[in-house]
Amino acid sequence: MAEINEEGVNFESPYDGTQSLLTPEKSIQIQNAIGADIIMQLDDVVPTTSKDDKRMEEATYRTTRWLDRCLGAHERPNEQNIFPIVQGGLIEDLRRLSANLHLERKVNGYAIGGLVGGEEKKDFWKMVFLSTNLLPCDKPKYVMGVGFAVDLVICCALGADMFDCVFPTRTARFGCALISSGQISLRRKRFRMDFEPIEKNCSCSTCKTYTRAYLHQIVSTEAVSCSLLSVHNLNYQMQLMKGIRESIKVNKFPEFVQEFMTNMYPDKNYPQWCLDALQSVNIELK
Amino acid sequence: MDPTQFSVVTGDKSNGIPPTNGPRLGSLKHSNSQVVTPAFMYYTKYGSVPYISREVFEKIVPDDQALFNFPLPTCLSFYQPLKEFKRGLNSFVGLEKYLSCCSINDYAVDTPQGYNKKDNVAIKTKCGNQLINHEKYMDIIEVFKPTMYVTLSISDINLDSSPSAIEKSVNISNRLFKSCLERHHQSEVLKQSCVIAPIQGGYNVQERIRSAAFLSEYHNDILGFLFDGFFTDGTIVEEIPSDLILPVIDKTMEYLPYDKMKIIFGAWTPSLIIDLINSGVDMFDSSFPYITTERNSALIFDYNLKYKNESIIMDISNCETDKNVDNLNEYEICLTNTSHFEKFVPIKDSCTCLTCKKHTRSYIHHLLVSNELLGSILLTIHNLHYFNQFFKDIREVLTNANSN
Ligand SMILES: [Zn+2]
Ligand SMILES: [Zn+2]
Repeated sequence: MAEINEEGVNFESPYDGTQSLLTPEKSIQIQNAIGADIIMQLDDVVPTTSKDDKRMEEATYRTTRWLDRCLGAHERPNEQNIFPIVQGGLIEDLRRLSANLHLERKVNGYAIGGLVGGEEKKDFWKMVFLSTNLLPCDKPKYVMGVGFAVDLVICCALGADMFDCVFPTRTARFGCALISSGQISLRRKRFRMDFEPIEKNCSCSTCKTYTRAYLHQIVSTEAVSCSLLSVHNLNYQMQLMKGIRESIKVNKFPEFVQEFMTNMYPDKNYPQWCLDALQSVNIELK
Repeated sequence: MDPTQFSVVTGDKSNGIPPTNGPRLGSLKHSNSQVVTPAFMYYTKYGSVPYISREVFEKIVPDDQALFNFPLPTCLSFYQPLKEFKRGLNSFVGLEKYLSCCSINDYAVDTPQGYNKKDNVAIKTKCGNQLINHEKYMDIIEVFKPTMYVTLSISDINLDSSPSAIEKSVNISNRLFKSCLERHHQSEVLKQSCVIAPIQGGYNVQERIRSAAFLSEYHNDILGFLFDGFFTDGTIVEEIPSDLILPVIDKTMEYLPYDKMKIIFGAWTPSLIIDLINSGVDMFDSSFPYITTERNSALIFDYNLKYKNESIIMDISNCETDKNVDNLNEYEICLTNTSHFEKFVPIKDSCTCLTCKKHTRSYIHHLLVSNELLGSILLTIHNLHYFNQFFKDIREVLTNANSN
């Protein structure tokens, strides 16, 4: 659907099917018009599962070249912050190179991109850790595409600061609700007679009013179910991030991680990548 | 707690002459709730107003006075869970504090005819047609525990129905009414629920009168009457000519007790709604704003209401619709039309709804063409607000006429 060359990305317009070229300059022009506080550079992304190392190298360098074009085209630098995106796939040297190149630019925060594309978790966390270690401590680091609660907690442990809410709202549209022990698909027959809220003690408006049984009835047919589940899932993610912040403030983050992981894996069958990732920042799970 | 009461507030000139069936204010009371008529029930699908949760609904209708209609086709699947849940339909769908009405048909969608079998009524659900007899229906109602419900009936009648089909629908519906009413009187749990009697007869005045006369004999047992069986396809109700339906309503009305609530469901145009109110109809539903939303349109018609010769008169003055050839009708504008691409104005300047206070036509156009759910949510907020305001204005005209 999209074709990439040095000039930019060729998209098929969702409006009329015509080809339109999105250049780094054009992407900033659009984002300047939208006016968000944080805006993203246009980057050249190669799937992490790609075996084409040459292409990956090209994309890494090109992302920095496009960053410079984006910074040059930026017309509201005092109001809006461009975040460069660290690329490099799963190749350590390229990640290091990308981060170091971006460090030379004057920006207020960084994104770590090109991950969560089907790669193995053991590769994923190493790339996040490598990137957060190279990026400066006093600037926010945003890991793009991360959504699962476990990933959020581990990435925070590895030094990431920001995420987005694509996952909780998208998964809501598929009838999935996030809970402290993981997630449940409300499409499943077993919720037909379940008159409990999605999660007991949840403070969201959905849990105050609706049962799993009712949500099960509307989940695949009614648009309202997307709204109701989005409310719950967003509340879940906000509470999770709040819990992380509060625990860091009182120097109890390792305890928070322990409690969170115990809820997720009551039988202590922690995934190896989680154990490894946490060990790298000296958090030992019981 | 007493079951729901309906009373006519005005319209009765009470100077010795028996009241005639003109426009009137009425009051539907149930414990702490009161709905003043003319009014409409909020149309629901699977227990929710389409696109908006109760939490959003509360922002559109801040007072807790509302009546919801639950059509059986989208609620039938609740029967099994509700048997175990035990707290009734309103509570299950999160609308506990409101009044509810259960009806047989979904009046805003197209329903194919001819699937009823004798005294078994076909309910079209997403899992196919399900045949329901009066025993099963009353089992369902006992579990749903609505504030009011329409008795089971054969109503798959439209403009093309044969005289024999119409006659049959009246016969069976009358029989079903009696059976349901018997069960109602025996039922402990339904002591709090009220019965609505569905008048059948298609466009045949004699059959309508036969149905009305039969049902009226039970006037002490019922809260109101539903004018049923005018159409099977809910999406073309707007096209039914007023001169076909109004004479039938007027003639039938003469055979109905004055002090009972008169209901009609379906997406009738605002102009026909005024006519129906003038004929003495008290209660409608929100099929019209729903269908408007479904075609990506927003209600914008400017109207002026007057009370003259014991009728409400509506003048529609639309400057906008004249210059926009793409409009479907005089009531609405279609927001997927490219003319709204860069219109940075609200749907309607004078509208005070949440959508109009915050969002432009351009943004809503963008949401709709990119198939974002929020587009339909914002349209629903506006259209329900607009329809609600329309009825508020109607009541105000009647209130003023009454005090003069
Ligand atoms: Zn919740
Ligand atoms: Zn509005």
